Amino acid sequence: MRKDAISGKGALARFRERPLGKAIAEYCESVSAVMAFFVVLIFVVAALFASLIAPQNPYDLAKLDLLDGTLEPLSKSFSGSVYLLGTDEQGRDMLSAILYGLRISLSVGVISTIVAFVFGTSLGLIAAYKGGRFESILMRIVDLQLSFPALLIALVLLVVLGQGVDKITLALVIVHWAYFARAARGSAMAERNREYIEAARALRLGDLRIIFRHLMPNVMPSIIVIATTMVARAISTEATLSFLGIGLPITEPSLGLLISNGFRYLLSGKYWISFYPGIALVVVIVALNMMGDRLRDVLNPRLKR
Amino acid sequence: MIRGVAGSPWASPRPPCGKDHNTVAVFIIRRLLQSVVLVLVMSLLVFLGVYAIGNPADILIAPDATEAERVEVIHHFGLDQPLYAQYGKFFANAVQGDLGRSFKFNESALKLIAERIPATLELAFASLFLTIFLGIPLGLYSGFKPNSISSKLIMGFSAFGFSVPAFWLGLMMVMVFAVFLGWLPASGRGQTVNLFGVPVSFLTWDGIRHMILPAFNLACFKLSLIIRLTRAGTQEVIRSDYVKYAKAKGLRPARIILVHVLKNTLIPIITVLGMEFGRTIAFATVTETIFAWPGMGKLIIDSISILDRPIIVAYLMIIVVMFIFINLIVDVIYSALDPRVRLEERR
Amino acid sequence: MNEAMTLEVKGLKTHFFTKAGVIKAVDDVSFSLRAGEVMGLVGESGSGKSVTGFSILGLVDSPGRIVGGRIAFKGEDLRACGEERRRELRGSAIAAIFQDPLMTLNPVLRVETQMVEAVQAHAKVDKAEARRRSIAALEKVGIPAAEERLSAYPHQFSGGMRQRVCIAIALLNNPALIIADEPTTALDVTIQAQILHEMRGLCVDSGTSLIWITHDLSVVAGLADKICVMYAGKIVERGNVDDILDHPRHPYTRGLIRSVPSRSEKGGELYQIPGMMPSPLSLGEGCAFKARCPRADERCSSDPGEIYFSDGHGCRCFHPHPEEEPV
Repeated sequence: MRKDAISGKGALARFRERPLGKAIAEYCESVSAVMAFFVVLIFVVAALFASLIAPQNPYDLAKLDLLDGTLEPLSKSFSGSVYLLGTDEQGRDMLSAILYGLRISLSVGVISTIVAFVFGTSLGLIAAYKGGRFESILMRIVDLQLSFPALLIALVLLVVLGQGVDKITLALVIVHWAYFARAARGSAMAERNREYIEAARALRLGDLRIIFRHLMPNVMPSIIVIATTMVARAISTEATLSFLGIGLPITEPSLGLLISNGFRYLLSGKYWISFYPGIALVVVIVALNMMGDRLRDVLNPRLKR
Repeated sequence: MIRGVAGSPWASPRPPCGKDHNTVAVFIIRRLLQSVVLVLVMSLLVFLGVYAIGNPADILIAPDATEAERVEVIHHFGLDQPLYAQYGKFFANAVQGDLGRSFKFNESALKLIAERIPATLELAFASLFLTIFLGIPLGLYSGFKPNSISSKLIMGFSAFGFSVPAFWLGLMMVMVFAVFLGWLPASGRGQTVNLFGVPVSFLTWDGIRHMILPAFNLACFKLSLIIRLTRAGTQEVIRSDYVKYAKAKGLRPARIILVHVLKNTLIPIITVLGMEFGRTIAFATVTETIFAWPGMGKLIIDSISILDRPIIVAYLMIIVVMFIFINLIVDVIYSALDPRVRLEERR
Repeated sequence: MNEAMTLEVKGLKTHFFTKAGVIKAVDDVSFSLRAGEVMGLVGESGSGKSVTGFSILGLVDSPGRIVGGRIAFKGEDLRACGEERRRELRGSAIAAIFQDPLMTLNPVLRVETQMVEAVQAHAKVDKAEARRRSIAALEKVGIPAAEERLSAYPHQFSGGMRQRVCIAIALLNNPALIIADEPTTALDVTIQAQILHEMRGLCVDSGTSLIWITHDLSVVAGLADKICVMYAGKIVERGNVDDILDHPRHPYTRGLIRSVPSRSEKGGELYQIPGMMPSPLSLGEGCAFKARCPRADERCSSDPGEIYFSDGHGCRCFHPHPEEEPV
């Protein structure tokens, strides 16, 4: 047990006692959750610095050599360097392709989630606070949208909007805002009748101010849990759509597109063109989900209090 | 009906619905009316969404057509009419059962889709079968013995199947079982037999062989979900007061499990299964693409990539109607099973 | 071991082995019950009274288990006889009534199902006969139109009616012993009084022994023949009802009696026993009540054994109140 010395508690001990510090400390009690966090961190860093790390720029057509096409992992290229994960049919180094693809997958997933988060949470909070017709109409729309499968909605949206990074991000935002709205409204409903909200109202503070400075911080924990899993879901959905051929165009290949590209070679045994991008995708998604699970365990008992 | 944010559906009894004058008939009629309105609204949205953007005629016209030919084609398909007129025509036709003709195949869109529905439905039912007869027992077992090794394995697999994108799992299945091990075929439907005029696969061994991988792939997500739900439900139910009371009455353990635990655990699960079934049909698009299964899903994906709009509209309409219908049935079944929610009070 | 005793409990110890430590929920509890006798087991929540009831029934869930003592039902050792024998006895010779029938009756099954299964679990009778017995039991507890009520669901009854259904279920197989755990706590006071009265009548008529577990001393005052007061897992005072109510010796019992609202003058302050029951994990040595007791001293740091004043009136205290001291 920690020694609580009367004097001289270190800065770390003091940090641990603040709510944020407590949450982080509790999160770290699970080894797998910490590992998941580091995995995600590594992937994010790799994606950010893809252009620096990748042995080859896979989209520089000049550098590609068809003679290097569909080489197995760990085979040598004509110029002598080793292709760690093999090459695709055009001679692209898989490792580089994966790094660049990771960049696109992650950015689409994260950005769409952030926008959906802002948009959906705000609407949900406002609905919970205002109540009345606004709330019931909004919730009807949310329920209606959520009763249809996300994939179907995304499908329809992409038919209408067409292909492109911005369009798929928009589609993902439209699909996912409803989850945030429902969660935010649900949590806020529990809080809106509490005394501190009444007190703020009595002080005649503006509505927006009450919602965002007082209501929102108490609703945050559960929304953050959802946000983490939503990022994983966004990445997964985008990959599925790209795999089906209606997601990103070939000029901006995400991991899903790489997998789709390699599919036809799978049946002839050249598995690595699909397999390694798939592994990268799955590892990121599973790690994010593990983080989300752990966050939920950490933050939920707090909510029940 | 199952709210994720609010409390567990197994925990506390719901308050009984006490409106004496509501009978089941009124309930159904009310829902039907709501559904019809919904279908109308959706048809409008779908039509507008699909036809209003871009130029629908592009697919029909060869790139080197002259202006005159272009105009003629557009006029022939009525695409030069104002949108509301197009919708009106569409609606009038739809009510009579004509949902347009595919631009590509030049056949009735409805007929094209209807031909493929049996294949998709068969796959969906196969995956439902797997989910019920594999998922529920595994979940029950895991709920009764939560700390056993097999239980932890089950939970591990289900966590995996739940979070991993299903299309990747499908690819892995193809890789492992078809390419490397060569046990099962990688694509296609195999032999079919006509049952009441509808071709089905499950009556022949070859047909079943072709169904195994895609059915499992389609079932993956549902299976994981049901295993987890059943386990959570079982754990909660066996701790409940009424199970303790059943023990105090001296009932045999078999009876307690089969009657008390099972019925209470299953009621919310059946609702989930019902809801998921609709999603399964939508999700079949992915599985059918991977395994080249000739169902609705593959048709819609192909149609989307070439922008064959009548098919897209027809497909969406059919899916919407199916959904609403399934939701209605699930609600009725739920109220039949759980007497606390029943809207029929005979005195 | 007297075979004439319906129930004899000696030195019962039931402990819960949790991650935070061992909780001695029941720590050396002994009492006995004759046929037709009604015993009130009184204590605050956390005193171990419910766990005592569950221990007798053999329904202690993990992480708890019975670690010591003997439970003899009509001479038969309940701990040694095996689970199948216990299952046979439960619901037939030893019946149970729990607190909130909305939670104890299965909400999705009809009352008929739940009664018929209770009959058929213990007797080889067909469904028609089981139904007949169920209807008879419902009529015995005063439920009107019993036959129609059978096909109803639990939530369609009022609270008092539901509890009567549970009593009927308990009586179905003519038990020799009924263990009732706070059966009227969730009911209105008027219904409570009715049920108490009827239970008493039923026990007198059929010679059934009854253990009535409650936190409310006034409830058992009119019902019980004898009372055991529990605190922190031990019985701190026992005796027949008149002795306990008129001449309580243990400071805790006195405190309980004084805090019953009807005893205080109108407008006067309600008496409260100061402090709270200690956490079961930090009980320590000696008398568990010493932190709240006005009469405690250094002697109380060692375990007081039970001392007996007169026939059956016992108390676990180093400083019992004198008999003549008014409450």
